[in-house]
Amino acid sequence: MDEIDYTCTFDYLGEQLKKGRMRLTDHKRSHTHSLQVAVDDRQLPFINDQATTPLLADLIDIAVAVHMADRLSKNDGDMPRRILLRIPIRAPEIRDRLSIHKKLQEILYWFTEDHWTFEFTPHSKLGRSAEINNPLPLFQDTLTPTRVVLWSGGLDSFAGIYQLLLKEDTTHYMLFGTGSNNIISSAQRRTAAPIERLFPQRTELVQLPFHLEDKSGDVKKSSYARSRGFVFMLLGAVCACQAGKNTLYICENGIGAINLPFVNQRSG
Amino acid sequence: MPDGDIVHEGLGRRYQEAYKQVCDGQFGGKDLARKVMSAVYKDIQQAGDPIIQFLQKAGEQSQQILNRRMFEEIDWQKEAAQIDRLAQSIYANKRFKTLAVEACKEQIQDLRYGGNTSNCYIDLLQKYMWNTYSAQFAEKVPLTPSHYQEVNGEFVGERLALMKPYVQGQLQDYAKQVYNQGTVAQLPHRRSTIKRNYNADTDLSTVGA
Repeated sequence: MDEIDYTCTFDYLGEQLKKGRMRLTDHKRSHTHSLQVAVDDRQLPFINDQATTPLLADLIDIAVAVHMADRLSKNDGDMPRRILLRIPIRAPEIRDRLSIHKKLQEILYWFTEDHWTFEFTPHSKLGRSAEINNPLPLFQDTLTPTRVVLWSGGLDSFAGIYQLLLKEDTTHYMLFGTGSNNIISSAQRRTAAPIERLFPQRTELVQLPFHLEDKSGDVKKSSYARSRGFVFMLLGAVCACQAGKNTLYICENGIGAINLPFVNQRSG
Repeated sequence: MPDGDIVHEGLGRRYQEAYKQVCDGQFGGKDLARKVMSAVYKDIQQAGDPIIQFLQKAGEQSQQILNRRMFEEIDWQKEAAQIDRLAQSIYANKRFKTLAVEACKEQIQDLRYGGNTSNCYIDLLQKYMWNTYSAQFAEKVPLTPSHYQEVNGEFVGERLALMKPYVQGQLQDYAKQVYNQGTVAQLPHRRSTIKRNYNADTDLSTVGA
């Protein structure tokens, strides 16, 4: 399967739109668009005052790049999209291992049923500020048990965290939200507020927003975003690692989170 | 067909006429099956040969399972994962590919619980075609707030049950044709109907023979 429908080439992903740039090539129509992209990971926790490692910064880039490519590659009916992603990668253990490419292809096929190909190039630019600057050595409460839980802002996560908080009255929860638009980000904040009121100082909202700007306004977006479960979980896993945890809690329905199939009449 | 002829929002355009006939109540099971199958054939034809080639490979895998299972323990999860890997490598309509994959996994389940078949590939073709009929038509028909001509759901259910054996029969023939030809490029053969010209000199005893 050598043909490609879309190529997304990321030059750099900064925390501001003016720094980040990507190119989208629609091979069927022979069009190339240049767009601005940004990911703001400054809110991620810093356990032991450590800056984001190259590996975790790469995982953020991969998640955001997948999200952007998924949004920008328009579907052609029920035919799969063949998407090539070119991403600069810092950690050689990701860049040079074919098994990583294969795993990514397989998991994204599971989520989207599209054909994804990855080309990882060496990352030559300076990283984002979260990678470069060590945070201020503020007091960190490492004694209270903390869990990282995905926070979509929807009813499933709301009900899930409510149950968890009721059940274990000493655990602190870090609610991890992401979002590519202000509506989602604001919904996450709105739904986190009553939880904070009901269980004071037991939760903390951490958001990792990312942005896309198409100045030309010519690029049509796909409304499906079938990769959203993958993107959300990968970024949540990064947040958990940054918080020194190896478990990510997910209170979402299986269809949305891990792409469980619908019944026959909704297949595909 | 103009938009005005869409009588069931959930059904594809080429299934509207068959649905109307189901609700009309005039036609028998055989005619209803013939009508809906012409739409199913076109869907399968449009989904294309990559799916048929995938089914052929999956059929070979099942045939091997059938031969091995008497003598060794089969890792059923591994076999199902192998189907997913096979499917990943083909470029085909997502919806129909999913139906084909489901057919393969159904067959693996059948084999796991002692099922037998003389030809795994033909059986897979039939399962895929049946899944297409179910997903594109039979399972969608009930999904409407009210039926055409205000008939009730029970009546529609009975009509679907009436046509089911004929649909299965036609799918069986079609599966054999695809097996022999290796392609869905051609729609099923139909029996030729010989038109006879009658005139004043025709021997009346031969009419209708």
